[in-house]
Amino acid sequence: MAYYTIERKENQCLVALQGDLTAPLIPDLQAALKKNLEQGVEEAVFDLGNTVMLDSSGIGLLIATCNSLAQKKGKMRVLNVSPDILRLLQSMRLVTRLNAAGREPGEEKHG
Amino acid sequence: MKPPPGMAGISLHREIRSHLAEVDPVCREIRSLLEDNGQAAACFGVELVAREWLNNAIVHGNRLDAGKKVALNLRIGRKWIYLQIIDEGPGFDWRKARRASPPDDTVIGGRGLPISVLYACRITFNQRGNQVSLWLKKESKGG
Repeated sequence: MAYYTIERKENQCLVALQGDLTAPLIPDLQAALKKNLEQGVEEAVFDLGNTVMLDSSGIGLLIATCNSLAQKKGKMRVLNVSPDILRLLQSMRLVTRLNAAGREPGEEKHG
Repeated sequence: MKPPPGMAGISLHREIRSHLAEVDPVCREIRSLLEDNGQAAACFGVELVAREWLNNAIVHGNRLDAGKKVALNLRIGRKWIYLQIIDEGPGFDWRKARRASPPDDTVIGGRGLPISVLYACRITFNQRGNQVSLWLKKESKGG
């Protein structure tokens, strides 16, 4: 069962999570991202609009993607982050590194 | 692995096999239990911390050995939400882990304990390092 979609537009890929970004999902998503990066993706956008939970494995995947893109002067954004996840990323001092932005008001999701 | 003494009241005891796929159902139960008992605001922190230690117990503790179990005990007390996770592995050097600095923003791993420290007021380990106990603050009435 796919818990994400990857939409490719030239050298950009949009990763839309359909649920949580946690340990069980990581191996599959990591392999898919690696394939896209090898095929020339220079910008990755993660849409966490439907994501309630992000654990340290999910954070690790975002940082690994960011590191890979930085090596080829690419960039990354993490969009529609829930308030809980945004607070977590702020506490871990990762908001700037991951270029993370919260959801617009009225876009709150409940788990 | 039996639930510890004093786990009466609003509590949850689960044992799972060492598969990461077994973490999600337990976390859904934790979320439901907290929501049903007026602790919706604590859900994110409790679930996140539970995930971190369940994942650790499965991957690093039991080394994905399907024959080994991981036990979780959760209790909603008067002031605290108590969480305990036990694996059947050799344990880890929690003293060394506690002394380590948080990883910088390019490091991929090593955030399980720093995340737990963010949400839990107290964290203790057994001597061997295969059992962790965490106390998280309960949501106060109207808070």
